[in-house]
Amino acid sequence: MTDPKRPQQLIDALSQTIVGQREVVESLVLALIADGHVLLEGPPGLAKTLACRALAAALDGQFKRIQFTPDLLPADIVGTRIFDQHESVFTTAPGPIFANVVLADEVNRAPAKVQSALLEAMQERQVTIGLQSHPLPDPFIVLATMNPLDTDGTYALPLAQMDRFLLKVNVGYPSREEEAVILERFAVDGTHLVESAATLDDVRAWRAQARAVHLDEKIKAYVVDLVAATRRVDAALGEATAALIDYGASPRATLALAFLSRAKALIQQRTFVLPDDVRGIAPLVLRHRIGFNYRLVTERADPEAIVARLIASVPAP
Amino acid sequence: MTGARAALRPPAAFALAMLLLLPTGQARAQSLQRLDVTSFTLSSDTGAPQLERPFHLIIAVSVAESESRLDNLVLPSFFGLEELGDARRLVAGSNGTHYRETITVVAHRSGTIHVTPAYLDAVDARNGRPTRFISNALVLHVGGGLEAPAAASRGIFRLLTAGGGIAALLLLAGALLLLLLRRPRVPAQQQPAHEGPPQPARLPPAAAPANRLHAFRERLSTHPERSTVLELRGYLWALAGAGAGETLADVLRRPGAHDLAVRTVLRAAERAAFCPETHLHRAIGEVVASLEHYMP
Repeated sequence: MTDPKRPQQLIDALSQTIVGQREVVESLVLALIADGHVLLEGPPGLAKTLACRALAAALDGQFKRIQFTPDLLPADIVGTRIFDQHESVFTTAPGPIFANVVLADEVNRAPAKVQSALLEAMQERQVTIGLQSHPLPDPFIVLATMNPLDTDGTYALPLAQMDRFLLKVNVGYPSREEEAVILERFAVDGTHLVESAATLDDVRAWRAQARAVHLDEKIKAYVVDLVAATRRVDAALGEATAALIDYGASPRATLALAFLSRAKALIQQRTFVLPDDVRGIAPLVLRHRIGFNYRLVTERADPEAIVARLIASVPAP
Repeated sequence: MTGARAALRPPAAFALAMLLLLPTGQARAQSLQRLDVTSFTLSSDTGAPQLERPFHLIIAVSVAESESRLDNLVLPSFFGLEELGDARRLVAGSNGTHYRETITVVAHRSGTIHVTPAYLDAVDARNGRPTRFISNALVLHVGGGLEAPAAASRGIFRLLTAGGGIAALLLLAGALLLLLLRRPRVPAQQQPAHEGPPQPARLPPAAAPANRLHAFRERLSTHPERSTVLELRGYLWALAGAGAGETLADVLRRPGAHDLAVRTVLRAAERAAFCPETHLHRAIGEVVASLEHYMP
């Protein structure tokens, strides 16, 4: 019997494939431990898809990719009933959602009905085909990507649906040094995915361990204060900034902060959460849950800076 | 017609002013420079400034980025000093930007003068947060010891020339006695007292808060309680110049916390502050051990 792997080993394995993008790699593992889904936003060519494939390979799990297009149908994701002429019965053909790691590429290119089918599956962890419900595999993680630059012909995800992603990661360009490594590593040999860095059983064990990580009362209060600050921005940042925001984060954000803080503590081999764990993941949890309005664009305000100021306005314990 | 035009002028001017001012105000809110401030100090070029003798206050800022200017740098305030002029120098290159402003000042009265810290508002490049970087403050003791004896000797000379022989001699003897008595009270070295080393704030040497830290160590050894740990943590945060709402990562980024022993104490206190009750005794044991290692 082999020793159970540590989450850090999975991060290290992914880092062998993904150059730089430390936040992306760590976020994938955090979401995996916290049993949530990830929204990756960034321009094309920044290894978003590769990161998802690398995670599936490193986990020895089943990986499916769905390219979202305007003509996609819900049945293309969840599956459908097919009439078997030989047996004269309807059989179920499961869709690509039945996998451990599902990559929803360019999720905002499909219309709302399809997005809704995916997001419902993410939430319920089961899909209904015909009259029968089918549970999704465990672990099950959806990694959705969005390209912020090319928005023609896209369907923006409503805030209520964005809320279902445990965290949102903004994928940025690599540094000059990282780009040199990318050139060195991939120009000749192509992509090399590290396999079997952890098992699905390891992931289930990490989840159990994360649930046992201690969350002090002071930290709980800090988590609540952080989310509450998004709903009373005028008190934290003044009326001018508050005018850019229609509504704050939901209680799902509170739960997400708690889950992810525990996961982060576990990655760092701690049995308790520190304020830095919470503050470190707060931007990833809050940035897509705050309802900015049109004034954000007209005022040319930076949403990331506003979220950072909001977080900074809440004193840590 | 002219009257009608004149009547329109104030609202039109007001609207124009608003149009000009509004975007500026909005832009300012979003226009903090993104800086990685590596050092920020306020110093004086003399350890013992003297009355009516000009000396210099020097503000030095170093940032990792190459910038042509530093916006939002606010100079220190000083009451009791007259500003005679200032000189600025900014050198930007691949190794960052080094800004130095030298303010020439003069004191017109002796005694203690407090110079408030300078500060710089910017987005901290290390964490993306809007931050007020604050330099150290200065306390200067302006010496004017020669003034009083000179004035006294002039008075005595007048008395002597006035012919008050014995009385003058008695007064002279009294004045000498007074001078002798006063001398030991004058501080031997009138160094400018830095309220804190360069900012971001630096932990003072271990000897300075030794008594408090010894007391904390004793209390934790005899009564290992969470409340004492939290009190110690707050004290360490204050020593580092950190606000109560800052996290360990903020404190560890400060230059003064680069010392391994200091980092060990800070980390141990953080762990003991938030660990579960079942781990508390062991965590407090680590705090006590790290304090023993840290203190002289």
